[in-house]
Amino acid sequence: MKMTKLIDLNYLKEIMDGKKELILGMIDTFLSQLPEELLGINNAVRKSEYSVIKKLAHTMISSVSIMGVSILVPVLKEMEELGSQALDMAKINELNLKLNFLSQQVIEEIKSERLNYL
Amino acid sequence: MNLFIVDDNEIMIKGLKLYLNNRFGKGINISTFLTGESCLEKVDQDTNFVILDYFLDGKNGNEILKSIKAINPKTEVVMLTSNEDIGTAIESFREGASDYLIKNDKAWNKIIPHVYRAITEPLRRMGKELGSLKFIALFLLVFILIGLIVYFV
Repeated sequence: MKMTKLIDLNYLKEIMDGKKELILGMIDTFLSQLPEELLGINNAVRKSEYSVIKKLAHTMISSVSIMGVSILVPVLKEMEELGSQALDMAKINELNLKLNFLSQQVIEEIKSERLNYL
Repeated sequence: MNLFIVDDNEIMIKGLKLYLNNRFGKGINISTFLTGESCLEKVDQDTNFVILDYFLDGKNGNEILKSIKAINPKTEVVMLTSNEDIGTAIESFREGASDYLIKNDKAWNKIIPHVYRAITEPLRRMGKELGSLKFIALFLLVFILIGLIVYFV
């Protein structure tokens, strides 16, 4: 079964004027940063640190928006909102599982897309 | 021109720096900072322009904005943030921000006219100080001198 594509690099291509070396630089930074952010947010969820969850979710929204990963935005926004209200850790847990699941697919897609810019 | 980008997101910083360098080339010298405090250590009388996020580790963007203006009132500051609170935006303008841009797919384009105006500010100031007629006369004089030099050499 073919999975729906989660990433759309058109915005990135537009702001970088289609320049391959610039796009590649951004892709590499994202591939380096995303696992670190996931690690951070996973730790925060494990420790029930609402303020850290809120901060990291907020930061990740900017990152995924630039990279055209819009599917993660509503998940992160909800985590940010629940984090700011210090509410419903069970729901946050559920959202975090979804975030991690989708992020794995995003990473694989971006790695595949990256080959077009070498 | 010396331009600072202050944001706690490395992708945002890298992307914006690449974007501006691509458009302005060697016309601007860009420094990036992950915290407001590290930016304040470098702000001085030669800092022309700052693009500043609101949500930062440590002091928030408006507090940093106030400190930047205390160091150099002439530094132009544009807020670039996901904070859509109107009160925050009003406070930014009160503290001297030139603009308050919400992070979306149009935001980076909106920074360009601000940067362009900051780059051309010395020329416009020179024009005002000399007066436009004097500026034209000076330009013509230099043009004629160059022509004479080329002709006789």
